[in-house]
Amino acid sequence: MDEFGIKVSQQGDVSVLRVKGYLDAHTAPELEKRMQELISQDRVRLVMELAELEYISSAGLGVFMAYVDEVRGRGGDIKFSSLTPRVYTVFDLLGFPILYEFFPETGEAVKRFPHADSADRGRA
Amino acid sequence: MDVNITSEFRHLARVRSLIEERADSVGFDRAAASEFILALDEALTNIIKHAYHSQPGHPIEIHLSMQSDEAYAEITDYGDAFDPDPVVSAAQHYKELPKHRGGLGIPLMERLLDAVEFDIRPGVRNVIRLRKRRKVA
Ligand SMILES: Nc1ncnc2c1ncn2[C@@H]1O[C@H](COP(=O)(O)OP(=O)(O)OP(=O)(O)O)[C@@H](O)[C@H]1O
Ligand SMILES: [Mg+2]
Repeated sequence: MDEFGIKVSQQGDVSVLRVKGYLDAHTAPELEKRMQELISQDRVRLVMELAELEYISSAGLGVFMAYVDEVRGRGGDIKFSSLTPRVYTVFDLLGFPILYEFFPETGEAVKRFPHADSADRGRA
Repeated sequence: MDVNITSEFRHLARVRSLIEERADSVGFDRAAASEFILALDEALTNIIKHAYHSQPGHPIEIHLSMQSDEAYAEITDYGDAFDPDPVVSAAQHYKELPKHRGGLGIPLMERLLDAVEFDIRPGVRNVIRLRKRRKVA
Protein backbone atom coordinates (compact mmCIF):
# COMPACT_ATOMS: atom_id res chain seq x y z
CA MET A 1 0.00 0.00 0.00
CA ASP A 2 1.15 3.53 -0.73
CA GLU A 3 2.87 5.15 2.21
CA PHE A 4 1.41 8.35 3.53
CA GLY A 5 3.75 11.29 3.18
CA ILE A 6 3.96 15.06 3.09
CA LYS A 7 6.63 17.05 1.26
CA VAL A 8 6.79 20.77 1.85
CA SER A 9 8.38 23.15 -0.63
CA GLN A 10 8.49 26.92 -0.87
CA GLN A 11 7.41 28.87 -3.91
CA GLY A 12 8.24 32.42 -2.89
CA ASP A 13 6.30 33.00 0.28
CA VAL A 14 3.81 30.24 -0.49
CA SER A 15 4.27 26.82 1.11
CA VAL A 16 3.21 23.90 -1.05
CA LEU A 17 2.35 20.71 0.82
CA ARG A 18 2.41 17.66 -1.42
CA VAL A 19 0.26 15.14 0.38
CA LYS A 20 0.49 11.56 -0.80
CA GLY A 21 -1.28 8.31 0.02
CA TYR A 22 -4.15 7.74 2.41
CA LEU A 23 -5.27 10.53 4.71
CA ASP A 24 -7.39 9.04 7.50
CA ALA A 25 -7.66 9.18 11.29
CA HIS A 26 -4.32 7.36 11.54
CA THR A 27 -2.35 9.69 9.29
CA ALA A 28 -4.17 13.01 9.89
CA PRO A 29 -2.07 13.85 13.00
CA GLU A 30 1.01 13.97 10.77
CA LEU A 31 -0.61 16.56 8.50
CA GLU A 32 -1.77 18.46 11.55
CA LYS A 33 1.78 18.56 12.89
CA ARG A 34 3.21 19.89 9.62
CA MET A 35 0.53 22.55 9.38
CA GLN A 36 1.18 23.65 12.97
CA GLU A 37 4.92 23.87 12.30
CA LEU A 38 4.39 26.01 9.22
CA ILE A 39 1.89 28.31 10.88
CA SER A 40 4.13 28.75 13.91
CA GLN A 41 6.85 29.90 11.46
CA ASP A 42 4.40 32.46 10.10
CA ARG A 43 3.87 30.48 6.93
CA VAL A 44 0.18 31.00 6.41
CA ARG A 45 -0.01 30.90 2.61
CA LEU A 46 -0.62 27.24 2.03
CA VAL A 47 -1.34 25.21 -1.08
CA MET A 48 -2.34 21.58 -0.64
CA GLU A 49 -1.17 19.72 -3.75
CA LEU A 50 -3.26 16.56 -3.68
CA ALA A 51 -2.47 14.89 -7.03
CA GLU A 52 -1.07 11.85 -5.25
CA LEU A 53 -3.63 11.75 -2.48
CA GLU A 54 -5.49 8.47 -2.95
CA TYR A 55 -8.01 8.81 -0.18
CA ILE A 56 -9.39 11.26 2.37
CA SER A 57 -11.81 10.81 5.27
CA SER A 58 -13.38 13.38 7.57
CA ALA A 59 -10.37 13.13 9.88
CA GLY A 60 -8.24 14.65 7.12
CA LEU A 61 -10.85 17.22 6.14
CA GLY A 62 -11.02 18.30 9.79
CA VAL A 63 -7.38 19.40 9.71
CA PHE A 64 -8.13 22.02 7.05
CA MET A 65 -11.20 23.19 8.94
CA ALA A 66 -9.15 23.50 12.12
CA TYR A 67 -6.62 25.96 10.65
CA VAL A 68 -8.40 27.88 7.94
CA ASP A 69 -9.74 30.65 10.19
CA GLU A 70 -6.38 31.21 11.79
CA VAL A 71 -4.43 31.38 8.51
CA ARG A 72 -7.02 33.66 6.92
CA GLY A 73 -6.99 35.87 10.01
CA ARG A 74 -3.27 36.26 9.51
CA GLY A 75 -3.53 37.19 5.85
CA GLY A 76 -3.02 33.72 4.44
CA ASP A 77 -5.22 30.99 3.04
CA ILE A 78 -5.46 27.27 2.40
CA LYS A 79 -5.95 26.53 -1.30
CA PHE A 80 -6.15 23.15 -3.01
CA SER A 81 -4.65 21.97 -6.27
CA SER A 82 -4.63 19.02 -8.65
CA LEU A 83 -7.11 16.75 -6.88
CA THR A 84 -8.11 13.48 -8.49
CA PRO A 85 -11.84 13.29 -9.28
CA ARG A 86 -12.31 10.66 -6.58
CA VAL A 87 -10.86 12.82 -3.82
CA TYR A 88 -12.53 15.98 -5.11
CA THR A 89 -15.92 14.25 -4.86
CA VAL A 90 -15.50 13.93 -1.08
CA PHE A 91 -14.74 17.67 -0.71
CA ASP A 92 -17.60 18.48 -3.03
CA LEU A 93 -20.16 16.32 -1.21
CA LEU A 94 -19.59 18.37 1.93
CA GLY A 95 -19.58 21.81 0.33
CA PHE A 96 -15.87 22.67 0.55
CA PRO A 97 -15.84 24.46 -2.84
CA ILE A 98 -18.04 27.22 -1.39
CA LEU A 99 -15.47 28.14 1.25
CA TYR A 100 -12.19 27.07 -0.37
CA GLU A 101 -10.57 27.61 -3.75
CA PHE A 102 -9.62 24.61 -5.88
CA PHE A 103 -7.26 24.74 -8.87
CA PRO A 104 -6.27 22.16 -11.47
CA GLU A 105 -2.59 23.19 -11.20
CA THR A 106 -0.43 24.14 -8.22
CA GLY A 107 1.08 27.07 -10.14
CA GLU A 108 -2.32 28.68 -10.52
CA ALA A 109 -3.07 28.29 -6.82
CA VAL A 110 0.30 29.84 -5.92
CA LYS A 111 -0.31 32.77 -8.27
CA ARG A 112 -3.64 33.49 -6.63
CA PHE A 113 -1.92 34.74 -3.51
CA PRO A 114 -1.15 38.46 -3.59
CA HIS A 115 2.52 39.12 -4.43
CA ALA A 116 5.06 39.15 -1.63
CA ASP A 117 5.91 42.86 -1.99
CA SER A 118 2.32 44.01 -1.74
CA ALA A 119 1.79 41.64 1.18
CA ASP A 120 4.84 43.13 2.94
CA ARG A 121 3.44 46.59 2.49
CA GLY A 122 0.19 45.35 3.93
CA ARG A 123 1.92 43.89 6.95
CA ALA A 124 4.06 46.97 7.72
CA MET B 1 -16.81 -12.46 6.18
CA ASP B 2 -16.00 -11.41 9.74
CA VAL B 3 -13.17 -9.11 10.69
CA ASN B 4 -12.33 -8.30 14.29
CA ILE B 5 -10.11 -5.40 15.19
CA THR B 6 -9.25 -3.46 18.31
CA SER B 7 -9.83 0.24 18.74
CA GLU B 8 -6.74 1.66 17.02
CA PHE B 9 -6.73 3.83 13.92
CA ARG B 10 -3.79 1.95 12.41
CA HIS B 11 -6.16 -0.94 11.57
CA LEU B 12 -8.29 1.21 9.26
CA ALA B 13 -6.02 0.73 6.24
CA ARG B 14 -6.13 -3.07 6.52
CA VAL B 15 -9.91 -3.14 6.83
CA ARG B 16 -10.26 -0.86 3.79
CA SER B 17 -8.07 -3.06 1.64
CA LEU B 18 -9.81 -6.25 2.78
CA ILE B 19 -13.14 -4.81 1.67
CA GLU B 20 -11.68 -3.61 -1.59
CA GLU B 21 -10.36 -7.10 -2.36
CA ARG B 22 -13.67 -8.64 -1.42
CA ALA B 23 -15.58 -6.18 -3.62
CA ASP B 24 -13.31 -7.01 -6.54
CA SER B 25 -13.70 -10.72 -6.06
CA VAL B 26 -17.51 -10.60 -6.06
CA GLY B 27 -17.64 -8.05 -8.88
CA PHE B 28 -19.14 -5.19 -6.87
CA ASP B 29 -18.81 -1.89 -8.71
CA ARG B 30 -15.51 -0.16 -7.85
CA ALA B 31 -16.84 3.37 -7.51
CA ALA B 32 -19.65 2.18 -5.25
CA ALA B 33 -17.15 0.07 -3.28
CA SER B 34 -14.93 3.07 -2.58
CA GLU B 35 -17.93 5.03 -1.32
CA PHE B 36 -18.94 2.13 0.89
CA ILE B 37 -15.39 1.88 2.21
CA LEU B 38 -15.25 5.57 3.12
CA ALA B 39 -18.58 5.31 4.96
CA LEU B 40 -17.33 2.28 6.87
CA ASP B 41 -14.08 4.07 7.73
CA GLU B 42 -16.18 6.93 9.16
CA ALA B 43 -18.20 4.49 11.26
CA LEU B 44 -15.07 2.78 12.64
CA THR B 45 -13.35 6.10 13.27
CA ASN B 46 -16.38 7.31 15.24
CA ILE B 47 -16.44 4.13 17.31
CA ILE B 48 -12.77 4.47 18.21
CA LYS B 49 -12.97 8.22 18.83
CA HIS B 50 -16.37 8.59 20.49
CA ALA B 51 -17.53 5.20 21.80
CA TYR B 52 -14.05 4.18 23.06
CA HIS B 53 -12.64 7.71 23.58
CA SER B 54 -9.52 6.86 21.57
CA GLN B 55 -8.47 4.25 24.11
CA PRO B 56 -6.75 1.27 22.47
CA GLY B 57 -7.48 -2.41 22.99
CA HIS B 58 -11.27 -2.45 22.84
CA PRO B 59 -13.09 -4.84 20.50
CA ILE B 60 -14.81 -3.91 17.26
CA GLU B 61 -16.51 -6.67 15.25
CA ILE B 62 -17.22 -6.22 11.58
CA HIS B 63 -19.52 -8.55 9.75
CA LEU B 64 -19.38 -8.03 6.02
CA SER B 65 -21.60 -9.35 3.30
CA MET B 66 -20.69 -8.50 -0.28
CA GLN B 67 -22.57 -9.45 -3.39
CA SER B 68 -22.24 -8.20 -6.91
CA ASP B 69 -25.19 -5.84 -6.41
CA GLU B 70 -24.97 -4.98 -2.72
CA ALA B 71 -22.50 -4.32 0.07
CA TYR B 72 -23.61 -4.68 3.66
CA ALA B 73 -21.74 -4.30 6.95
CA GLU B 74 -22.74 -4.70 10.55
CA ILE B 75 -20.32 -3.19 13.06
CA THR B 76 -20.57 -4.00 16.76
CA ASP B 77 -18.81 -2.23 19.64
CA TYR B 78 -19.14 -2.34 23.41
CA GLY B 79 -18.27 1.27 24.14
CA ASP B 80 -20.36 4.24 25.21
CA ALA B 81 -23.87 4.51 23.92
CA PHE B 82 -25.16 7.68 22.27
CA ASP B 83 -28.42 8.97 20.90
CA PRO B 84 -28.03 8.92 17.12
CA ASP B 85 -31.39 10.52 16.28
CA PRO B 86 -30.43 14.22 16.53
CA VAL B 87 -27.09 13.60 14.82
CA VAL B 88 -28.64 11.62 11.97
CA SER B 89 -31.43 14.11 11.51
CA ALA B 90 -28.92 16.99 11.41
CA ALA B 91 -26.89 15.03 8.88
CA GLN B 92 -29.93 14.54 6.68
CA HIS B 93 -30.44 18.31 6.69
CA TYR B 94 -26.76 19.07 6.15
CA LYS B 95 -26.50 22.08 3.85
CA GLU B 96 -23.12 23.65 4.29
CA LEU B 97 -19.72 23.11 5.79
CA PRO B 98 -19.78 23.85 9.53
CA LYS B 99 -17.70 26.78 10.85
CA HIS B 100 -15.71 24.61 13.18
CA ARG B 101 -13.87 21.36 12.85
CA GLY B 102 -15.78 18.10 12.92
CA GLY B 103 -19.27 16.89 12.25
CA LEU B 104 -18.56 15.61 8.75
CA GLY B 105 -18.51 11.85 9.32
CA ILE B 106 -22.20 11.15 9.66
CA PRO B 107 -23.20 13.55 6.86
CA LEU B 108 -20.73 11.66 4.65
CA MET B 109 -22.20 8.30 5.67
CA GLU B 110 -25.70 9.59 4.94
CA ARG B 111 -24.68 10.80 1.50
CA LEU B 112 -22.58 7.81 0.50
CA LEU B 113 -24.87 4.99 1.57
CA ASP B 114 -28.37 3.80 0.72
CA ALA B 115 -29.08 3.07 4.37
CA VAL B 116 -27.44 3.67 7.75
CA GLU B 117 -28.94 2.31 10.93
CA PHE B 118 -27.82 2.77 14.52
CA ASP B 119 -29.03 0.10 16.90
CA ILE B 120 -27.86 1.19 20.34
CA ARG B 121 -28.46 -0.88 23.46
CA PRO B 122 -26.86 1.14 26.26
CA GLY B 123 -24.60 -0.96 28.42
CA VAL B 124 -25.02 -3.98 26.14
CA ARG B 125 -23.65 -3.24 22.67
CA ASN B 126 -23.92 -0.78 19.82
CA VAL B 127 -24.52 -1.88 16.26
CA ILE B 128 -24.20 0.21 13.11
CA ARG B 129 -25.55 -1.22 9.86
CA LEU B 130 -24.42 0.12 6.50
CA ARG B 131 -25.92 -0.74 3.15
CA LYS B 132 -24.88 0.27 -0.32
CA ARG B 133 -26.40 -0.93 -3.54
CA ARG B 134 -24.46 -0.90 -6.75
CA LYS B 135 -25.12 2.14 -8.87
CA VAL B 136 -27.39 1.27 -11.74
CA ALA B 137 -25.49 2.08 -14.90
N1 LIG C 1 -20.12 5.47 17.33
C1 LIG C 1 -20.39 6.57 18.08
N2 LIG C 1 -20.44 6.47 19.42
C2 LIG C 1 -20.68 7.55 20.17
N3 LIG C 1 -20.91 8.79 19.67
C3 LIG C 1 -20.89 8.95 18.34
C4 LIG C 1 -20.63 7.85 17.47
N4 LIG C 1 -20.69 8.28 16.21
C5 LIG C 1 -20.97 9.60 16.29
N5 LIG C 1 -21.09 10.02 17.56
C6 LIG C 1 -21.43 11.39 17.99
O1 LIG C 1 -21.95 12.09 16.87
C7 LIG C 1 -21.16 13.25 16.58
C8 LIG C 1 -21.09 13.47 15.08
O2 LIG C 1 -20.30 12.48 14.44
P1 LIG C 1 -19.56 12.83 13.10
O3 LIG C 1 -18.80 11.65 12.65
O4 LIG C 1 -20.54 13.42 12.15
O5 LIG C 1 -18.56 14.01 13.50
P2 LIG C 1 -17.22 13.94 14.35
O6 LIG C 1 -16.80 12.52 14.50
O7 LIG C 1 -17.42 14.73 15.58
O8 LIG C 1 -16.18 14.71 13.41
P3 LIG C 1 -15.57 14.18 12.03
O9 LIG C 1 -16.27 12.90 11.68
O10 LIG C 1 -15.86 15.27 11.04
O11 LIG C 1 -14.13 13.99 12.27
C9 LIG C 1 -19.84 12.99 17.25
O12 LIG C 1 -19.17 14.19 17.61
C10 LIG C 1 -20.24 12.17 18.47
O13 LIG C 1 -20.67 13.03 19.51
MG1 LIG D 1 -16.65 11.27 12.82
